[in-house]
Amino acid sequence: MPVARKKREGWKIVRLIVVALLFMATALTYVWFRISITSIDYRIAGEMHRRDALLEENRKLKVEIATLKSPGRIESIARAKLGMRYPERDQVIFLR
Amino acid sequence: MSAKSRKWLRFRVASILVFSLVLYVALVSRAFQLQIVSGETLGKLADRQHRKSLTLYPERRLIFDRNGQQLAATVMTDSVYVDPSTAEDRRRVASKLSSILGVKKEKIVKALANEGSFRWVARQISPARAEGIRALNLEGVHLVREPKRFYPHRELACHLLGFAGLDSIGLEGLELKYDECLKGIPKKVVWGRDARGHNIYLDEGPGGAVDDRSCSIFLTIDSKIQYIVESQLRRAVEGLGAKGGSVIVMDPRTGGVLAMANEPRFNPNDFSSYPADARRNRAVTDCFDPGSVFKPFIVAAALEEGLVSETDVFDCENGSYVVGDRVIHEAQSEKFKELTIPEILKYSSNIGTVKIAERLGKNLAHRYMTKFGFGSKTGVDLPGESTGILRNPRDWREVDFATMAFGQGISVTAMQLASGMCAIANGGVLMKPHVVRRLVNKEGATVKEFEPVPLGTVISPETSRKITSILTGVVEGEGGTGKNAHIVNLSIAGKTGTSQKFDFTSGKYSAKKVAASFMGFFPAQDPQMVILVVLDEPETSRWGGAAAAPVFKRVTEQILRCSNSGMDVQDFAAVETVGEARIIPASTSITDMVYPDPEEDETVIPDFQGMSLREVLRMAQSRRIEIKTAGTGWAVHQNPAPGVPIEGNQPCYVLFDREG
Repeated sequence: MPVARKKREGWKIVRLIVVALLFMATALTYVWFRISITSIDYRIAGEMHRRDALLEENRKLKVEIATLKSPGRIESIARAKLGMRYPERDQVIFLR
Repeated sequence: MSAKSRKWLRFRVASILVFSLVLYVALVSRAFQLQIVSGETLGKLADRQHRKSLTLYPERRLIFDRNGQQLAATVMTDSVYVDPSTAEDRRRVASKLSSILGVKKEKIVKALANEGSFRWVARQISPARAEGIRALNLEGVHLVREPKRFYPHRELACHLLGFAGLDSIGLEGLELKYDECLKGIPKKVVWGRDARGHNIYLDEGPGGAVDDRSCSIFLTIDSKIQYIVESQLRRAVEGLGAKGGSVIVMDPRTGGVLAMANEPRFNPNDFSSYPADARRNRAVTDCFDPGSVFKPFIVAAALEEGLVSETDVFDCENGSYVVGDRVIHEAQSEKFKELTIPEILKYSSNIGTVKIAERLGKNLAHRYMTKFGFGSKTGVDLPGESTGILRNPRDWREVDFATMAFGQGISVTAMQLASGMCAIANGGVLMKPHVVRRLVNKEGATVKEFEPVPLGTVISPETSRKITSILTGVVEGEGGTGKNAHIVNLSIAGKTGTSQKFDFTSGKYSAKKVAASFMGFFPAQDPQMVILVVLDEPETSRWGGAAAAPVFKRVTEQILRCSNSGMDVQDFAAVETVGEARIIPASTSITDMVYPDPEEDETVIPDFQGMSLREVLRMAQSRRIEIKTAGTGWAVHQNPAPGVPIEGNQPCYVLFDREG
């Protein structure tokens, strides 16, 4: 086989390999993107669950605050534990 | 290559080609069948495997009092259901669930014996029980999150708030009235699901659990006043052995209800454990004969029409007055001769009021009763309101009209009475009572503000002033029936009432069963609160002045002391004085008292040094000096210095220090 023909055949193979590599790189990039998207979707789902849990916790804490601030509860503690009573009229001094 | 070999080679190539072709055709056919022929069905099946659809219940919006105190909230709880198709060893599952949930084993076995894949076992269980079930990890037993209504203050304002049922649907009270506004609409959200069952976010539109159109409610109710009213009402009902009672506190200027309490009451967190009788909002649903608290409306009408004047004298017939075929008597067998209008109300004379009503006439009396709102719903934004009973004047016999003048033979609700009293207090305008102040969306922006709604003018401001003055005499005048509501240094206008209850078994008014009431407002010169107290069948003390007036007094005193009512209560807080003498309750310790030195000049700034904050404030109050303080402990420095003349509103700065 003449040298020139051998060279042309060699270039052909190189081009084929380059095309194949480009094709593979494109395919791998696509797969990598898909994997990344799926992984982000998992993280979003996780974060959304966490957000829901935190919102629920926040709601529970607000309800707990409301329960603790209940006038009935405060009065019973003031009377039973602290021995407090309602003030007499002249004991009340209004500050402006 | 020999001919035989080439032939064999061609055969092999042809075979591979045929094989490949067959394989290709088979694959294409299968793909065609999967994608085109059965594509739709298989796509749906795949979706069912890969996607998870969740129904998100919108958080039922909250209910707040006027100061932003949370009265009704929503929490997420777990509910248990079983899937009979996947449950194994039903008896064992039932036994384990029964021990944790406290549900009968037979009931769970029955649920598991059903066909299908869903049966409730227990709903809205406690977190501890839910944890116990999770730990068991039983096949076919599942937990699902559900919203549950929770009332953090338990019984507080229970009749107003009402309650919501298992599916977060309002069943009573404001929960029912504003259900559409509070509940929102459930929303579906789609999640992806991988082979392990983990959730994957699918970007298929906006998520979020709350429907934007739902609103929270801010009430006109003040939870502090509500608590005061409820505790005092309970104390009165228990102390007097009454069957029940109601108290309403209203702002006469706006018609806003500041508190509404009933006895008996219930815990809305566990509403099913209480009888329907305890869950009824008596203040708006129950009618009763008002008794003498009705008299001011008759007198106001006669004054407004100019048919009587405050100085007119009426012969009260020495306690017996014949009307038609009946004899009208005074309450408690009292006997009065001649009384003026203020005296008629002060002593609550039945005969005097009948005579005023006679001057007014049936038609005018009926017109004013209607104008005051009797015989029709007040329009308060609460469910189940009654109209009361106000018959057509054509059907009134002579004696009916006479008894109606002192509140027997007409049926009213507590809400109507309080609303009518507001009209007397505010200068004669009947306001529409309301309990909701505004609606607020998820972002906290006000969506709707409920402005005060005047329903019409009933009497003139002049008549209002006259009747207020007369009613002040009922409480403050010597021998007035409302003297038990009197508070030193606070001008109160009010009226007592004791009405016989109609006994449906005997068809007559009962001599023993009564409703005792007191209705009043303060400060009389600038009314800011109207309070109505009604006690149903009190046993130990049956008269309105003895049973209901003290409740009014205690409620008023506590409201002025404990709540930030914004009223000028300086005078009320002052120590009672009689002439030159100072009256100080015996409970005040001697060491707490600070007596101004009589020889000391009260026109100059006193020496505060060494005094406690309380002592300084007390002395400053007695001399009308405005004080500005800093620090804690005992007064160590002051500006202006002691002895400097007091000048107008110039404040005195006092510095306190723990070291003294």
